[in-house]
Amino acid sequence: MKKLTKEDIQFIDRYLSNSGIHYEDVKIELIDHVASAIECRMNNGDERTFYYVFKEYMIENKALLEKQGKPYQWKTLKSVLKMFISNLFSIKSLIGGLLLFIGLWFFNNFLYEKYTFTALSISWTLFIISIIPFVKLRKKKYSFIGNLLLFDALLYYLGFCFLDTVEYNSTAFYIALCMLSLFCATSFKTMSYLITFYKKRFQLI
Amino acid sequence: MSNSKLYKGSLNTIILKLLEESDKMYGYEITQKVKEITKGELNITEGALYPALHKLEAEGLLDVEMQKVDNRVRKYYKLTEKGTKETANRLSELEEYIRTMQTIINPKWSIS
Repeated sequence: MKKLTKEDIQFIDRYLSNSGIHYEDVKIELIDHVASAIECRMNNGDERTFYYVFKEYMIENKALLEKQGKPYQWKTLKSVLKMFISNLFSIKSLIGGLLLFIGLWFFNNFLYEKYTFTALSISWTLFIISIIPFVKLRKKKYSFIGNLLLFDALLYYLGFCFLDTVEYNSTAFYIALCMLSLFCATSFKTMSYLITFYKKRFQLI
Repeated sequence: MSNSKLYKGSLNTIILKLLEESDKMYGYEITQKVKEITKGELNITEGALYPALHKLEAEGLLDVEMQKVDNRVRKYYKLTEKGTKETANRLSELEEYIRTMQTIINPKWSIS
């Protein structure tokens, strides 16, 4: 029974990374799929070395594999969206959003009364949430986290567009700020859940 | 997958049925099992299989187990309790569908 060596597996890993498949959760499954297919061919009478069998397999299947590795996929984004919505009105998100809003309101009214500062505070919070996975997961990328970051970016862009249209310190301004604070807290909760989930699932690596 | 439009709607049920018969299976194993059972008539591609598996997992019908096998990590899928119940439902739905199709396509040979 022929089995691929550690070097062969690393070669497949590098090849898939160079083909734009960067998410670990997607790549791990594809590495095993490609390796199993190559081993099957080698055990069914193909006497060539790993490189030639791999090359032939890739000519036949590369397009399909690359399709799997697309960074943003509607199905993944939809699942992330569902998760985000179910977290939106959880007690933790509501309390976190409220505390963030009170903090921003306090800064805005008593310490530094400037629209730019308030708006930037939300950006900083978003920035902190975005770098958590890079710190916690040692730069490894995962599909749900990548799609959550994309969703966050869209949400905050729309939020700021709205903040721009309302009068500074008006009721609408504070409602928008309150909503953005809630989104920040929900994003943090969803991100924490995903990091724990991926860390637990991929602890073998 | 050959005859893709006809088979597409049954892919999830096929996966559930295979997993019902085995304790756990990984992606490539599922494609090969289908190929073997159908004598090469049905060929499930990676592009169809993995999104279907991920969807079933997200619906809570499948559970996942990671194992280190031959210098790489392998993701095994197995049915959850909810998945086992859903398999029975979907199989009876599929059987009903086949019976209905049979009465339309070949009325003389239909059971009822």
